[in-house]
Amino acid sequence: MASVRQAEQGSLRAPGFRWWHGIIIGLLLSYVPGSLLVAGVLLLPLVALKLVDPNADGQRIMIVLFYVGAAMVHPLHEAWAANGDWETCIAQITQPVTLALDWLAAGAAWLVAEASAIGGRLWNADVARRERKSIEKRIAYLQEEWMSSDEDAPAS
Amino acid sequence: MADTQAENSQELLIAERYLISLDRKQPDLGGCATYSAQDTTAAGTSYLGLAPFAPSARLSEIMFFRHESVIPIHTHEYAKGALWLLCPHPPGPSLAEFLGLWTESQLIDGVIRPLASLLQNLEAARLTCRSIRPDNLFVGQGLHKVVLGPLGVSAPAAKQPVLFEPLSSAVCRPSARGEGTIDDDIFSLGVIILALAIGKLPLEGLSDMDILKRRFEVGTPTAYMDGQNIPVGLRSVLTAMLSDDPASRPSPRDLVTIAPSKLFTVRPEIPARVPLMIGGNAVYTPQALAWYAGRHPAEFSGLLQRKIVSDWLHRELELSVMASLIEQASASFLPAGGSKAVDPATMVITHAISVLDPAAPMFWGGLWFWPEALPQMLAQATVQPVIPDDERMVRNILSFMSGNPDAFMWGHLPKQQGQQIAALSVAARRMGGKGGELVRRFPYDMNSFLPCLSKRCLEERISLPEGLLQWLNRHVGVEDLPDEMLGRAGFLDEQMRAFLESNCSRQGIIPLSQSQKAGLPPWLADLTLLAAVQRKFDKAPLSFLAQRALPLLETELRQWRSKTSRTRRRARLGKAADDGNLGKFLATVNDPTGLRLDQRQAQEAEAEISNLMRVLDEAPERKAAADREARNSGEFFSLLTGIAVAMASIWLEFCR
Repeated sequence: MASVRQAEQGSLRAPGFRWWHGIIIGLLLSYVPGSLLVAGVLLLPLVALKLVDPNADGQRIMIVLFYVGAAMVHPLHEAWAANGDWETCIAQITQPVTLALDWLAAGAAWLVAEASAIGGRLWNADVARRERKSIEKRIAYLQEEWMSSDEDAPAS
Repeated sequence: MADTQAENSQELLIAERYLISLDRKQPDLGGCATYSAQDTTAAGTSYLGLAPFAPSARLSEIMFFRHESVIPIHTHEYAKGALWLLCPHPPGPSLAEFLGLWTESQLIDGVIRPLASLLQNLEAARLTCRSIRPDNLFVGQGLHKVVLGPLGVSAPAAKQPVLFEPLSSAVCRPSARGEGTIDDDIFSLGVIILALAIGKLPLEGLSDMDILKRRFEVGTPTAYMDGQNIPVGLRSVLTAMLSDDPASRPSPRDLVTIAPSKLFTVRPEIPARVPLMIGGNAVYTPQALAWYAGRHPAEFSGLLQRKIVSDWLHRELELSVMASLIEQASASFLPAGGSKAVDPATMVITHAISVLDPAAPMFWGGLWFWPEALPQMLAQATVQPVIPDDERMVRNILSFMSGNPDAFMWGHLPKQQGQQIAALSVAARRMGGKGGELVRRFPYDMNSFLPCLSKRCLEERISLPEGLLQWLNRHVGVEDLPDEMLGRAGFLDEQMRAFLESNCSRQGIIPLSQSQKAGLPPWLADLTLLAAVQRKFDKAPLSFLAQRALPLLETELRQWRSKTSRTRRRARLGKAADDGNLGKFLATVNDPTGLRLDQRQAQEAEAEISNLMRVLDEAPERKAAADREARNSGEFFSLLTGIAVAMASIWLEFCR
């Protein structure tokens, strides 16, 4: 059910969504419904991100995808090892540690992206300030050297 | 050369050898101030130190002239740029103190022969003497042999009394008499012989004007000799020597070989039967008419126009050639459309006078003068104007005559005058200047011994450029040269400039052309001239001058835009001023290459400033771009860490 909603939402947001995507998801649903359920549940933070921040671009989604992917490795491995056993899959997605890790991974992705952007901005600002200072110093020197007249000319 | 410390003690040591006692003034010798002098290297050797002002232009030739009958010039030296001449003491008192009564043989052996031989030698050297007068002739105690004072120490004939000058130069003012000829000296010699023969001066007690009137009236021989008790043997020679016609005077050679009672023939001058009345005077000869024409030009031109002069010449004197020439001359009274600068009326009178008396000097603009004497006249008029407008008048005459020699070259211009005018115009062309400057330079160019005629330093008789430089260096204080005057008129006045420029051109250097000078403030042009003179003539430092110019040049430094180079140059200027080298001093400021470089750098700096300003203005835009950049790089960084985390997770899951 979750996957259907995801597919609907995907079709809503992704213009590149094609009919064969549906076929693949359908095939996966019929053969490994457990694994798909795990993947679907663990990808929920992405959906939440899209809802919270409609401006998030592909790059941001990609970052979050990598972090969430890192958290998904273990549950998917478990599901895979259990040959997509429904019970195991349910057990995986109901493990609070796994879910917490998943949500934390999304948050960490968000945090790292924003923090590094802010850091870069601060660093840039510092560079710009230093540059401006040196330019102003140079202008002052040039004006002093070439534009000033001798107000201190000796009177006699 | 000069020992400055001796100034206070009234003693002047020149050439480290001759000590001149300025407080022991002696009677003037040869017409210039004389002091007693000593040779310190030879004890007891006493000399006379002569301080000539404006000596003869040919003094350098005259100095080497030696003759037993003339006091030689022992040496010449410059002290503080002023010329000093040293000569031995005269053998005795001058004739002006006591003439005495000389016998015919004493005169022949003691006066005529020695002086004639002197004149003969002078003639061979193409010089003239023009200083035969009682106060310049000296007789040894108990001897009857005259010795002439040193030659050339004053302007030619300038000190001669009218009595001792032939009519052709007596009519001129003293400075306008020119070099003259040996014939003029023969005349002066004749007068001195006459005076010694009769024991007194002829025509004693008459004023110069009365003497001239008398001489023109009856002729000089008659005027001087009438009623005097003259030795019979001398009558003939004196008549010849005193003749008003130079051609009738004997030559020095005739006089050297003179024997007692030798006869000379003079073409007698026939006066007119009926005199011509001009200015209330009866005129009997063309010469006299020429002179009176100069005194009464208006009346004379009236006579010319009414053809009375030519009629009188034709009928009463039977000089038909002269009459027709006069007629031709007066014909040009009608406006001939000549040059505007020439007043036709004066020109006609000048022309007519030269026809009437070919031996007379030139009469023009109301003055009698020999053209060659014009530079000397100008110098004299500058120093001591006879009338208030004298200088301007002489300057105009000189300027016109040197510029338009052709205006005077009519067919009957006497040869001597023609040569002199041509020489003037050649000199003017060689000088190459024009206008007032050329005329001011004329006296200096023609006479290298002429001191600077500036009123400020006239007393010092400075005739060397380095002397003037040193004098200026000592007299540039605020009290001598107020700031306001310095800014307006510069360091020099016009005479000083003319003096220095003339000396420079004599050395073949041209400090500044007229056009270059026009663009400069006068003090800067002066400094340039002074620097050129210093480089050429005098290496002595001119620190005071430079110090005085320092503030002026420092304002000139404003042209430099760079502050550091201004400061550097100011420091260099101060140092150059202390050193007193004007050339280096000026070069610090007058540096076109440096100035051009400075200006180019200033322009570059301006461009750089505007460039940097633009960079600053664009900062907000660049900030937005930078922010975007920062966000992108932040995302890239987090993407990389994400990949790393994912890979680590996979590694942890599968490989442990």
